[in-house]
This record gives sequence, C-alpha cells and structure tokens, in this order.
Amino acid sequence: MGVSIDMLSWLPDSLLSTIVSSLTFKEAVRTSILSKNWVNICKSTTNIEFNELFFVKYDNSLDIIDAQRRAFSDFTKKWIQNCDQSVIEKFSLSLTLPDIYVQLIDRCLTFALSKGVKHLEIDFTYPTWMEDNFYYDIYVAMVELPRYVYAYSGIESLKLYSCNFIASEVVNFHSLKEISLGYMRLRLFAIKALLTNCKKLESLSFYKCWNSDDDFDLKEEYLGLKKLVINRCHFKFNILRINAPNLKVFNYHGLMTLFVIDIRSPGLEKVNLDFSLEHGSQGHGHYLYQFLCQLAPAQVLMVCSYLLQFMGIAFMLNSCPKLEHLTIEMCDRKVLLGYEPMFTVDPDTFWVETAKLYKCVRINLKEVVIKGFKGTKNEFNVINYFVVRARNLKKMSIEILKDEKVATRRQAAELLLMSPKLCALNGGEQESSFNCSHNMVFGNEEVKSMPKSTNCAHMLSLTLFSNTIWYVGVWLNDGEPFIGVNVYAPYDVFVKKRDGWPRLEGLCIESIFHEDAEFLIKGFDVEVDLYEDIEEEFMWFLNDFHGMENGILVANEIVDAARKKNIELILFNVDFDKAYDFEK
Amino acid sequence: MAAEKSSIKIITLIAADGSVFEVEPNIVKEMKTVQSYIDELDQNTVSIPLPNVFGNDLAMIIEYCKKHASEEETKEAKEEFDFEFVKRMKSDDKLRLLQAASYLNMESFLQFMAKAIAAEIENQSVEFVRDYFQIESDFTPEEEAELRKENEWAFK
Repeated sequence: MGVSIDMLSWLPDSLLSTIVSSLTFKEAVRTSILSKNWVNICKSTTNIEFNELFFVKYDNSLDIIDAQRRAFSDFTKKWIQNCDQSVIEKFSLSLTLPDIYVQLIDRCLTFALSKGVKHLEIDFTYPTWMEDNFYYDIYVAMVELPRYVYAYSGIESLKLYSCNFIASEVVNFHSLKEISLGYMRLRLFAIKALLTNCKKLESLSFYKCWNSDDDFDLKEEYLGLKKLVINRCHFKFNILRINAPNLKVFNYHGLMTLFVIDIRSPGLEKVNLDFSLEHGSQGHGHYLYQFLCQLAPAQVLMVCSYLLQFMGIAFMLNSCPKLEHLTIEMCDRKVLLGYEPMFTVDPDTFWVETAKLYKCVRINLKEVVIKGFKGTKNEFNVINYFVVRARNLKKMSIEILKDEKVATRRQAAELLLMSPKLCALNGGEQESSFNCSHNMVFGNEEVKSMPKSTNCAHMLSLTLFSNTIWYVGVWLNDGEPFIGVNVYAPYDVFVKKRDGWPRLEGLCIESIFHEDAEFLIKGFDVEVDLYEDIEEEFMWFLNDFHGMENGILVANEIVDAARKKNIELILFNVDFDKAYDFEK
Repeated sequence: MAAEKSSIKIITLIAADGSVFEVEPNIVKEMKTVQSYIDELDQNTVSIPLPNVFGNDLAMIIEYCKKHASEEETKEAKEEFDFEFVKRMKSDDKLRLLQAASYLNMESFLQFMAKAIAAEIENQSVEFVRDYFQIESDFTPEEEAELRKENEWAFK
C-alpha cells in the first residue's frame, strides 16, 4: 500500500515541534544540542518560560547576581528576536525587581500578546517569600499589569503573582477560564468584577492574598464558577458566602476565621480543608459544624486533624453520605490551646464500640488515605473501623510520618502489625489492590483471621511502599500456588513462611542494607544474615525462577510468568524508599 | 442532508496492511480526515482507506476513541485508561501513533501522544534523546561545546 517502514524513522519537523512544545521550556532548550536541525525545532516551541531563577543564584555576591540577571535579560531578548514561531500557547515570565526591568517586561508581554498567547503567567515574587506563611502582606506588589494587556481578549488562563491589576479594566477577557492571583491586596469588588466581566471564568485561585476590610460575600449568583481555591490568604473576613450553584471543587487552606459560612453549591465534588496554620481555638466548633453541614454533598473530602479535634471523623462521615475518597492528614500540633471537647468521647472504645455504620462507609467509601500516621491507639482503631466496616473499600493507604525517629517508626509499624482485624478484609466485592504506603498492615499472628482464598484470590497486587517496614510477613491460604515478593529494602526484612502455605517462588531483594540491618528468613531452608552477601545467599531461592540475575526479579516478570502459566497470583510488592532518599 | 448523514450506521476503515475495522460514526468524530471523507459521501455505508496507518495502530486509536467517546465512563476511569494505554506502548509505537494522529488530524490525541513522548525524553541525556529520534549529530565537538555554553543555564 505504499507505506514503507522507513516512514517511521522520519518525523516531520512540525511533529517534532509539537513534541518540543510539550516539554518544559528548559528541556526544550536542551534539545537544541541534538543536531543542527533541532536548533530550529527547539526555537519553535509554543511553550515559553522566561524564569530568572534559571539564571540567578541568589546566594551569590551582588556583582555575580547582577551579571546573572544580565545574562537572563540578554537571553530573553535574543530569544524574542529570533523567534519565528507564529503562535505561542503558553508564556510565563518570572523575575524579581520588576520595577527595574519594566522595559524587559514590556518587551516580553508585547511579544507574547502578538503571538496570540493563551496561557499567560506573570510572577514577580522573590524566592524567599515562599517560606513565609504568615507575614506575606508586607510584600506589596511593585508594578501593575501594563494597560495594553487589558485590550487583549485571547487569554484563557492567567496567573498574576505580585503584580497588581485594575479590576475595572478587566472587560475584554472573554475567553478567560482560569485565574490565579497571588501576593497582592485583593478587594472584594475586584473579585466581583472578575466574576461579572469574565463570563467564562471557571476557576478562581488565591494564594497568599490579603485584604483587611471586606467580607468574602459573593451574594450574587455566579453560575460559571466551578473551582475556588483560597490558599493561605490573610482575608480578615468573618463571612464566607459563595453563591455558585455549579461549584465542584473547593479548597480552603488557612486560618479558621470564618463565622458565617454560606456555600450554596449542591454539586460539590471535592472539598479540601486545611486549618493546620491555626494555633488555637476560640470556640470555632459551632462554625466549623456549620461549615461541614454545607459541604455535605461532597464526594471527596480532605481534612486535617484540626477539624477532627472538634467533630471527630464520625461527625464528618455522618454529614457526607456520598463520600467516596477520604484523606486524613495528621497535623503536627496535637492539642490546641483552649480546646475542650463538646461531648465526651472515650477514644479507646469509640471506634470499636460506639461508632455507627454510617451510610457513606457502608455504601460509597472506596478509598482511604491516612497521611502522617503516628501509631497512636486511636489511629489504629480508626483504621480498623474502615477496613472492617467499609464494604466497598478498594484501597487503603497509610503513610507513616516521615520525620519521626527510626525507633518511633519501628514502634508504629510493630503496633500496626498487632492490630487484630486488619487482615479481615471481608466482603466479596473487595479486590484489586490493597495499597499501603510506608507500612503494611499484615501482621504475623493475624494469619488465622486471614480470610479464605475466595476473598484474597482476587487481590492481584499488594503494593507496599515503605521505609518503615521491618517485618514482611507473607501468608497464603491453601491452594494459592504462587507468590512473588518484591522488596526494595534499605532496612531489615523478615520473611516468614508457615507450613501449609505454598512455596514462595519468587523473591526479589534489591537493597542497600542499613548498617544494623538484620535479614532473616524463617521457615525456609536457611536462616541467614543476609546483608553480608545477599546475592549468593539468595540465588538458591531464585533458582526455580527463570531468568534471574543478581537476585533481582522485577515484579512484572512474576506477573508475566503467572499469566503464562495461567495461575492465580498474589504479588506482594514492597517498595521501601530507595537508599538515596535518605542521603538528601 | 443531515438526516442522511445520521443514517450512516457503520464506517469501515481499511488500514495500510489491508486489515478492516468497522466502527460507529461517533468513534471517528475526532478523526477529521475521516470525517471530511464522510461529509463528502452520501452513502449508508462508507468504506475509507487509510494508507498511512497500520492495522495495529488503528486498532489502538479506535480503542482510545471508544473509551473517550463513551459517556458512561467517569473522568477518573478515562484518566486511568490513558495511563495504562501509554504504559503498555514502546517508544516506536508512540512515534508511529503520533504520526497516525497527525495524518488523521486528531487534535487531542496528537497532543496526548506528544505529551507521552515528551515525558519519555524529559530529563534524559542528550545521547538518549538522539538515539530515541535516531538523530546523528552533525555538530563538531567545538560547535556543540559552544552551544552548551550559550545555553549553559539549561544544562545545569
């Protein structure tokens, strides 16, 4: 049919240009070195990012910084001069000292607008501002968005950080869908003007913005708004009122200063609340309660434990009958000043005895993620509760708090192993993956309560990522013919085999052992201290398995082999953090 | 005219190697090249030769289109599908599918493949990328060193 295979080895420049445009700007520039043809291809990228940070290292002496800034400005000018691409999709400009580089900014923006840019990002923040979570309102924006930008109507998304704009001028942004504002004083009328004048606006994000006088009171109905993000803003408001019936995503990260909360959005899908910046509680309970009531329709709700101190997860579960994904992120602070529980709950028994079977747990809950797990008893109880009660739970991830001491983590891991019901994954619907980060919850002695193969036979993969696991126990019921264990372990690993369970056929150990690591295999033919010579000791173990070299078995090999043999497979994949993760 | 068009039930696509695919009209909506064919013809069954696309590739493209045209699938399910779709492909496949997408004039699939390829060459060595696209360097070592120096910041 006239097609030669050779056609594949040759891609037209237009397609290469499409690929280059999908790369980050830095990566795109790197392709110039491939060949002479690519010098031009890389210039055709439609995704341009001029970022001072690429050039300037701020810890250098002032002279060097000056020279680096000049290099940045020269590069930028040269690129603009040589650019023969007729269209630019995305243009991003990041620099410090915008008041000095006014000309350069003008040049960049006129260039971008003349090429029909759709996604425009302007960021004049200083890198160190990032670290400041509280007093960012001293960083007053030095410049304003140049006037001619307002006349341009082609922008679809706009990001302005530390660059003021005049809200009343924003009348031509007819295609604007997303706007993200940061590091600026933001008045309510400006927000309203944006929402009124940009008919297509769907997403509104604020990052470290501030104002002191207005309430966040959007009484008018905004049908278009689908996503609202308020991240670390010093809005000194007491009222949060949003009338956006089509709002789907709502994120709030900051202080709990809200006293009247009114969100009329029946279609909410994802809500993320984070009050970890809060340092005390002054009777917020009632307002939080109201807040949560309004969020009842959400399907995905992320909260920090600040909230939980007031309500408990139980309350929240009760309020959100459609909840499918639940992420609990433990904050650092454990007890807030002045906090007194509104009703007494015995933490030791609540989840075991008192907790009801909420509708969302019974029917809808599919995924639970717990981050920053510390290993307290109550945490175990909560995990137990979900594992046992949530009938449609497909995925559960537990991440142990990373920066705790090794000993603490070990203790937490051990405690988790003692949890009696974790292995009772009941409910026939459960399948596919039980995914457990930073720890695994299959303990030594719980084998007895491990359900019969009908339940776990469907469990094709168990993936465990961890730098905290010390014990890897592998158990299977009779009749399971095949297990592969894939371990990346900087720590000691304990693999135990019981009589009556089938032969462990594949085990992969890829590890750089921790100095005091101890490696034990019990129940197999040998019991060895493995870190002395892992390869030799393990070869016997892997001999049965085809194509093994250096004791490394890749998980997909096991899966492939199992498929070929047409046998049911349970694959435990334990991915400890790689050794280099600790060297940083 | 509109009524006639909607009466088309099945569209037959013939790949370069002669393999034949029968698909519903909504599957080919994204393929502008095919669509313009259909718009020109007023027949109940349409058979369209695609001499620049191999059967294997066409099968994959149709699979992708089916998933994405389906209204029952959730956004998450589609994302997961995309992830798996890319995962099982070799680099050659990606380059071939990119070309096929370009030939069939499928805007979003083209971007999708370009992104997949970009992800593969990102953060890779110059040698890797040359190998990937089968490029012979026509720079002298001095020229290459100069280029590197010129764009020093990008190579840090």
